[in-house]
Amino acid sequence: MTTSSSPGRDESSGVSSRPKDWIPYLIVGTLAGAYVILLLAMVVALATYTSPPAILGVLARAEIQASIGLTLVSSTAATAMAMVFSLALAIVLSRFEFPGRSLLDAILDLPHVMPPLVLGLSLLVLFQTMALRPIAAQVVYQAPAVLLAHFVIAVSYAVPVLRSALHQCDVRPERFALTLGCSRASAFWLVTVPRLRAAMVTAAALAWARCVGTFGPLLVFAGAMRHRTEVLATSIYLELNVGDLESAVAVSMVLITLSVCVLTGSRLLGLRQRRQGVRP
Amino acid sequence: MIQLETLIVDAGKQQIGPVTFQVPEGKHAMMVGPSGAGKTTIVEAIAGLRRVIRGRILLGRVDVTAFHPADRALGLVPQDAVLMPTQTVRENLLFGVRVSSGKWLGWRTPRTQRGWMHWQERVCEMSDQLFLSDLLERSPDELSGGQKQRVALGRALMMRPSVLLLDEPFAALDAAMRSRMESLLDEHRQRHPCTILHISHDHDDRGRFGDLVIELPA
Repeated sequence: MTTSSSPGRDESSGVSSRPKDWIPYLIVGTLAGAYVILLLAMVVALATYTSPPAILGVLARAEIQASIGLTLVSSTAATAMAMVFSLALAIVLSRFEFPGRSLLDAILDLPHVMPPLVLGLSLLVLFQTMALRPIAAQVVYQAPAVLLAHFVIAVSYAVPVLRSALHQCDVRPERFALTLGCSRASAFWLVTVPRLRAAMVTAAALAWARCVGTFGPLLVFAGAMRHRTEVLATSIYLELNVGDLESAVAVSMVLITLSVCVLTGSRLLGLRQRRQGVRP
Repeated sequence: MIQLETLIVDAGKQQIGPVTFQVPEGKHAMMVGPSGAGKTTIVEAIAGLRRVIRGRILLGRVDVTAFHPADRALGLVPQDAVLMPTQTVRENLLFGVRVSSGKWLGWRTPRTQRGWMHWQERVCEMSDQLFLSDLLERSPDELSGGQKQRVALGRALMMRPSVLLLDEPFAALDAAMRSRMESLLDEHRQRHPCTILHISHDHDDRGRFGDLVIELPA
């Protein structure tokens, strides 16, 4: 049997509404729509500035291929490492009460509040200290600097997502699993980790997309050297520096396409998991 | 046998106890008392889920006060079922079996194929008795309160524990289903002798159900 919509009925919640209830919906819809239109207009402007042959031409260049390679490898490796560290931090923040928890929380937010250039500068100065100076030559302005900067960014984006998901997870099933023969580790693995799957996918996708788009810290800490530390974001900067706006736009389109694909994929995966009942 | 000796339990902002009682081997004891008397807290302490401040808990003749919950080998049916939310009814019924197989990293790896078939047969038998046969592939979200309680009861009975702790296991069941579950519990106890500590708010339970009554003061 099908149901037809009736006037004065809120379809989403099934709650009856009064005649002027559409006014808030109009305001909310207009504001949301205006922002989405602005974003789409920006992307469309970029897309129409370049052309598929121009993008293919840019993609054929060896330095851009190296840049894409380093971007993908570094972002993926940094995200994988970040997920392990972020899960540990999320557990500490959401499961334990200890003095200084708020301070730890604030420290973890530092990469968000620091200007990107300052973040890069902090890493650069860190490797000038006595303890790290011996390995500075192997890290600073080298590929490991890209990985380290990506890692710091990835953790700062993954932790809040995982912490929030873990905070919403009822601990009783995990606790109860102990009476069914689980150790603490197996209870967490069997009961809580499956509930975090959707959040882990979201956190990883967000962290990865942020890594791909990171520029400021990389410029200061890793530099922008062709074939050595050049990633997609620095490629755009280098192309602009030589006045090649069309190539810069073409690289931007590659970057946007990569990020949109990953974010859309993660959303679809998250939706599928929610449909399968994987939720906190 | 379940024996508590001057047990004082940490219940967050307050303490419960001292509590002393004994449920003899193979008996079914009803624990009653006013709301807030600490019935659930005591049952959770016996299961190892609450910190014991003072006193001893003996199961059989073994002092399990300091044991990890997993080492107490008892079955617990909590008040609100507490099913594993990402697992189907079948997986919930098999949860203890999978954990005890020692291969919790490989969820779908049974110890042996023959052993696994045996457990699948047990699930079918248990789900028939609990009227859950049609719900085996459903997730807990898709169950009513009464169905969840039956799954929780089945999950505890699957392991055939020698001590069974029931925290108002029939609260969400209608009269007919409740009567069936009570019969199932009696049959289970006859076939697989176990000592039961059963919390109930229903005063009628005192007379017609269980071998003895433990009354907690307010």
